Amino acid sequence: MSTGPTPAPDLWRRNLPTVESAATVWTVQVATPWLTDPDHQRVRDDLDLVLFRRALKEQTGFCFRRVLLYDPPSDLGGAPDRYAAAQADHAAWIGRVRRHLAASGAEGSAGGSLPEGCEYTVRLLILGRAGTRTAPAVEDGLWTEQTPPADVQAAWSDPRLIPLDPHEESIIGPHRDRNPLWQGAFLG
Amino acid sequence: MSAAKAGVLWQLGLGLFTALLTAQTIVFAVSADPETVWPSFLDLVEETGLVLWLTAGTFSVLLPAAADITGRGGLLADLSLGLVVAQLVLGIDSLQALLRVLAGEGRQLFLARLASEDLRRAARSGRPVRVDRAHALAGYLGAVETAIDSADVAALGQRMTEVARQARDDEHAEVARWRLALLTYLIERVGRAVLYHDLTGDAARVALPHLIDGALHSSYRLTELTGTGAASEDHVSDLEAAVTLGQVCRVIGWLQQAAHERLQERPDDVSARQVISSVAKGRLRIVQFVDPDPPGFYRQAEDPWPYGLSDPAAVLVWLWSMCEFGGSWVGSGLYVLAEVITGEKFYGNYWNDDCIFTEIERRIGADGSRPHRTEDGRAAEVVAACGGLHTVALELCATVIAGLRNTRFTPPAGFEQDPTFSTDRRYLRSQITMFATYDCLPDPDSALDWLSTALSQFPTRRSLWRTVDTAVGTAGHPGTLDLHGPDARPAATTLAALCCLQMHRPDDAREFVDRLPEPLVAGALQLARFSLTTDGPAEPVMLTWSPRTADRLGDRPARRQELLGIVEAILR
Repeated sequence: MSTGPTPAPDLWRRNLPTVESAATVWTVQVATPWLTDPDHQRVRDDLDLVLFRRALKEQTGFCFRRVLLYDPPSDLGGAPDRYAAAQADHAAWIGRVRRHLAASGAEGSAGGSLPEGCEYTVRLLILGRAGTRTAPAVEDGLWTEQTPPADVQAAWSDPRLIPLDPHEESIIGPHRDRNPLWQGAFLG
Repeated sequence: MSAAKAGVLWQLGLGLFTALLTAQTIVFAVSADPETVWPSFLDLVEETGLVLWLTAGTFSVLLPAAADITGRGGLLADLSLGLVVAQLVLGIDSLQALLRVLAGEGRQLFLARLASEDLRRAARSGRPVRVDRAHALAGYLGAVETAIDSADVAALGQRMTEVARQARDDEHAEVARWRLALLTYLIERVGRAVLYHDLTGDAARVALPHLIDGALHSSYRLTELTGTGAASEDHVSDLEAAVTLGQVCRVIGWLQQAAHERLQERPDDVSARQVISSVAKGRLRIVQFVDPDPPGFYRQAEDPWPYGLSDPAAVLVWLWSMCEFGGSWVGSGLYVLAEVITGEKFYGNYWNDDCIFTEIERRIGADGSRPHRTEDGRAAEVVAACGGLHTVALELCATVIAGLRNTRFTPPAGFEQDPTFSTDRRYLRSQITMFATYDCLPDPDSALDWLSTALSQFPTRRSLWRTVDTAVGTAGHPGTLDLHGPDARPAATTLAALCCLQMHRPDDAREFVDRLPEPLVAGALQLARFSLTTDGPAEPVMLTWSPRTADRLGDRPARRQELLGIVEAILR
C-alpha cells in the first residue's frame, strides 16, 4: 500500500488489522504529517504499538522493516515554534522506537536476542537540503506482502540510510532506576 | 518670623543635620557594606528614607540662610522653620529605621519584606517559573550562594526564614507560585550543598524544616488564591499545589536515600546524619496535611490545608512523586487516594494484604464511573485520563520498585526503627503488595499488553505518567532532579507486572517470564538482585543490559529461574 507523499491516516488505520498478523511488514514514514498532524500521530502510535506488541509476544518468524526520518525537515511552514514542536515530537518518536528495539532484543551494536527468523530493523533517512535530492526517493507506504515494490527495496538497500541502533544510548541501563547519589552528583 | 531669626534657624538646622548625619554615618560605617547584595546598599537607602531626609536637611539650611543673607523674613523664614522641624523628624525617623533594619527582628522583617518584593517583581515576568533564571531574585540567590560557599550556617538559616515566614501573606497567586517554586528549589539546593559540597550538616538542620513548613503554607496559600473566589481563568483547584508538594516529598525522599547511601560508605558522616534528621518528619507532615481526615492528627487553627486535598488528580500527581526514591509513607498516601477518589475512608490494613485498589474498584468501578460518596464525576474523569485503575496501580508500583534502595544497606545508627530505613523483609514486601494485591492482570497476555503500552508511553494514549507529566509541565518543574516515567524504567515496569501476576497466579507469572524478551529479563533480574534480595552481589550501578553484557548474569534459563525465585521469595 503506497499512499503517496501525503499519507491518508484512514487508509493506514484500515490496514492495522493486517499488520497484526502479517509475517512481513515494511513501512516508510517520512512525510511531515507524522510529526505535525494529530490524526497521523494517532495512527503512527497505534502502528508502533502493534509492532512492539508483536515483537514482545511472538516467538515465531516475523520481519519488520521500517524507514523513518533522521530529523524533521527544516521547512515546516516557516514558523519556528512549529519546527520546535515537530523536532520534539520526532525526537520522542525515535526514542520510543529505539526503546522498542532494545526491549524486544532487536539486533544492534551490542548484539541481539530475538529468536531465529525474527527481525525488527529501522533505518533512518537523512533529508537533503531544500532544493536538492540527495536522499533516496521513496514515498510513504505500508506493505504486508512478502516482497514490497522494487523502489522500496532499492531505497531500503541504499547505503545512505542510517541504521537505528538500539544500543547507541544507554536507555535501557538501570542507572535511572537506581542510586540517588548518582543523580545528584551529575547536577553540579 | 523676622529675618533676624532666620540666622538662628539655619544654624540650628545645620547643627541638627550635622548631628544626625554623623550618627547615620557611624551606623552605616560599622554595619553596612556597600558591596553587599542582600540587602543591597540601595535597598537600605530606600528603606531608611535617607534621600528624603538629606533633601529636607539641605533645604532646611539653604532657605533660612537665604532669608538671613537677603534680610527677608515672612513666608521664607516661616517655611524655613517648617523645614527644620521636618528634617529633624525625618532624620530621627531615618536613623531609627536604619537601626531597626540592621539587627534583630526588625532586620528579619525587613529582609522578609524585601524577599516578597523581589518575588513580586519576579512574578511580573510570568511563566514559566524559573527561579534560578529570574533576574529579580539574583540578589537573594546570590546571598544564598555566598552563605553556602562561606559555610555560614547562621546566614543561610536567616535567608531561608526570610522566604518561609511570609508564606501565608501573599496576596497574588503568581507571587505565591513563585514563592513555592523558590522554597522547593532551596530545599533541593541546600540538600545538595550538604551532600555534595563542603557545607556542614548543620545547614540542613537549620534550613530544611523551615523550608518544608514554608512550602506547606505557601502551597495552601496558592490554593486559596487560585481556588474558589479566584478569577475563573486562574482556577486550577489544588492540582498545582499538589505538583509542588509532590516535588517537596520527592526531594526529601532523594535526600534521605542519598544520605543513606553516603552513610553506607562513611557511617560517621555527620552531614548525612544531619540531612536524615532534618527531613525525618517532613514527608509525614505533608501526608498528614493533605489527608482530608488523618488518623491521630489534629490540625490547629492556624495550620494549612484544613480539609486536605480534594481533587483526585491532585492526589494522584502528589502520590506519584511520593513513590519516587523509595520514599516512606506511600501506604498512608494510598489511604488518602481512597478517601478522595471515593469519598470514603479505606478501613482495611494493607499490611495484611487488604487491597486498597480492589476496594476502590468495588466502590467506583475500574473506570471510576460508578458514583459512591461523590457525585461530581471527577473520579471517572481522572481515572479515564490515567488509563484506568489498573494503570494507576501498576505505574505506581513500577515507580516504587524503581526507587527501592540496595537491600544490603544497614539503617543509620539510631534510625533502626524508622520505616524509611527498615530492613524488615515484611516492610519491603508491603511496598510491593500494597499495589500487587490488586488483581488487574488476568493472564500473561494482558501483562505483556500492559507492558508494551507502559514502556511506550505514547503521547496519544492515556496513562498516569502522562497525567503527571502534563500537570508538572503546566505548573512548571522547580527542581533539577529529572522525572522519569515507566518508559525510562523498563526493569521496574517489568517487575511490577511480574509481581502482580506472581501474587495471584504463579503459573501465569512463570509463563510471563518465559515469554519475556531477554533484555527485559536481564534488566528485571539485575534490579531484583539489587533491591529485592540480599543474596549475591548487587550489580554495579551503571551496568547496562544489552544482549552482549547480559550473558554475565548467567545462562538464560538460570536467569529466568532466579528472577522468579527472587520475586516469589519476596511475596511469600
